[in-house]
Amino acid sequence: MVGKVLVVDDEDTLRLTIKTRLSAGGFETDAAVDGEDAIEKLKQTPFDVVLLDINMPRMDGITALGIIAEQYPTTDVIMLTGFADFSTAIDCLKKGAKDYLVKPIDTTELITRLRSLLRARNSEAALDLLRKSHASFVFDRVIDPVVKLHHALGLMKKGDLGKLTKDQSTVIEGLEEMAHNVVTGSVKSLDPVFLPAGEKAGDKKEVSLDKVLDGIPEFVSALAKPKDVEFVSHLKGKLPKIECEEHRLREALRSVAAVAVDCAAKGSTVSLDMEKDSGEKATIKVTVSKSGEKGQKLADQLRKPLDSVGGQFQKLDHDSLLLYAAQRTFAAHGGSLSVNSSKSEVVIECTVSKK
Amino acid sequence: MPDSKPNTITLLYRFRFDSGPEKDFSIQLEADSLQLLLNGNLKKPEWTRLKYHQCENCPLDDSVEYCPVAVNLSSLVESFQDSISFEKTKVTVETRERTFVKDTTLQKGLSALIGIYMVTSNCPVMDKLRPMVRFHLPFATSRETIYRAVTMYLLAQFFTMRRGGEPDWEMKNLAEIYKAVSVVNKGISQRISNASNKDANVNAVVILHSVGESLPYVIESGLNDIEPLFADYIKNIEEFKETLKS
Repeated sequence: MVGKVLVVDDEDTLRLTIKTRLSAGGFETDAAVDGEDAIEKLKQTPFDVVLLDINMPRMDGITALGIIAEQYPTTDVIMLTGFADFSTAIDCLKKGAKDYLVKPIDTTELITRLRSLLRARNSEAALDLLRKSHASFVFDRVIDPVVKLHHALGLMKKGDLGKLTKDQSTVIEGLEEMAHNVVTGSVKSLDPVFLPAGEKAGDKKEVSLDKVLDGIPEFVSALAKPKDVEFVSHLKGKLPKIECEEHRLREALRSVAAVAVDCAAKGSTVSLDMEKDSGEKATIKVTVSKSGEKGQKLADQLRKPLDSVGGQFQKLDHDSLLLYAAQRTFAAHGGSLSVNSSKSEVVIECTVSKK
Repeated sequence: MPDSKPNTITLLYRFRFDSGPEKDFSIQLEADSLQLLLNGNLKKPEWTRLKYHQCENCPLDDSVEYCPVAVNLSSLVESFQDSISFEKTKVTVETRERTFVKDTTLQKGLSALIGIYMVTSNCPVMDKLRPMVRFHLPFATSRETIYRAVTMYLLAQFFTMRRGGEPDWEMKNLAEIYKAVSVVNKGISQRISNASNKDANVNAVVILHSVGESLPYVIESGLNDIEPLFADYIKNIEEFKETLKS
């Protein structure tokens, strides 16, 4: 187990002897002469642990601890304190230090504590990775598709996609309830704080945006018509090429379109447009000319990053879930998704990196 | 002026601070035994009592009321009880042979001075390092200190051998001596920490401790940091021996 340790002390003898002992103990080490120097070193390279003296010239250990805790939260800090500094040491623990050692330091004890801290860090990192991969799987592979399924079943039940017999309605209702239960249960099991934002899309291929959008206008029209909403596509001419997971990106665009229609008030227009020259990004705009309260709510909701939604996650409606899932997909393609509202108009703007 | 009295060795430590004040400490050692010569009645505050944070390995029995190192350090500790470790100072050390001057931090200068008191105060553990005081090197780096400690010990083994004793060329006991010294350094730092409001005194002992604590590991690693410096020297000596034979 190799850990990267930064020894911060203004006294060169102490710095050197600790550094030498830690290197002999198998740690990768570097040294800094005070708090300011330590922050500079952290800017250049990450460290697992910082051994931080308290009384130093220029920037003391307590100030440096505050900066490290705020700007480098994945770096653990062990404070090095004199005998009379117990209360300071306790304060440091409250401010985020993992441990403290009293000078003069027994380097054997220091190595034992460092190893124990690094073991804990490795376990925590492995657990964190597992949580993230589980959260991604549940959100992207369960919640997102089942919400879409639930949405489609809702349309079928209402007869928007064709008239149903009574038996068919009963089956659809049952399926809709099942889908709803899967979504509710999955949402309950998921803490969005573990959702990594915008994981890179895998298996990307070069494709024209025309191809990705293939079928989307028809899809929006089919959704819009029963609601007495007009759909207009302004997408004309040759669209740029992008590198993407085609199916995943198309699904995200479908979600955006479905949500837009959901927000549209009776008699309004949903339009699909593209910014003519948006630099290295291709920007697709879905505009709802007149939305109800729902559009405004969505715009407010989407301003909060998904990993900060916290306890409110379980209360999110299906449209928010769909847009958050789409947001993750666009982020995974080097782009973004945002919802803006002004008066009654709602604009969902999606960007993706051009080839 | 150093060595003004016969049969004594005098070391004068002078601390000059940017803020103005100057503090002098004169240490008189008995020339043969290198024992600290005490001047007058020393203060014996509570923290100098033997039982007060007594070192874990202290061999002194209950008949001894005060820790000899603590008593000798008391005036010095009092002088710097409100000083911070990294305060800049110009330290001048006058010995019989030469004068050393260094712009340094208080903890560094103080560390060299405390080191002298510790090995000349009749502490049974620290006394084992006493001969080094005769060749005192102020502001020594850890590498220099290790070199001096090892050479002193090996010289002692040579004298042991010459007297018909059993020399310890492997330096097994030197590592043990320094492990014991580390325990005393820790004990002393605990004592003076309670007698100080700021960290200069404690950190001075911390420096001594850090060098002492590292020495057993340096010996264990075969002094591989110093050995390369001797590569050519050893070769030359071997060649010289061959020349003498022929």
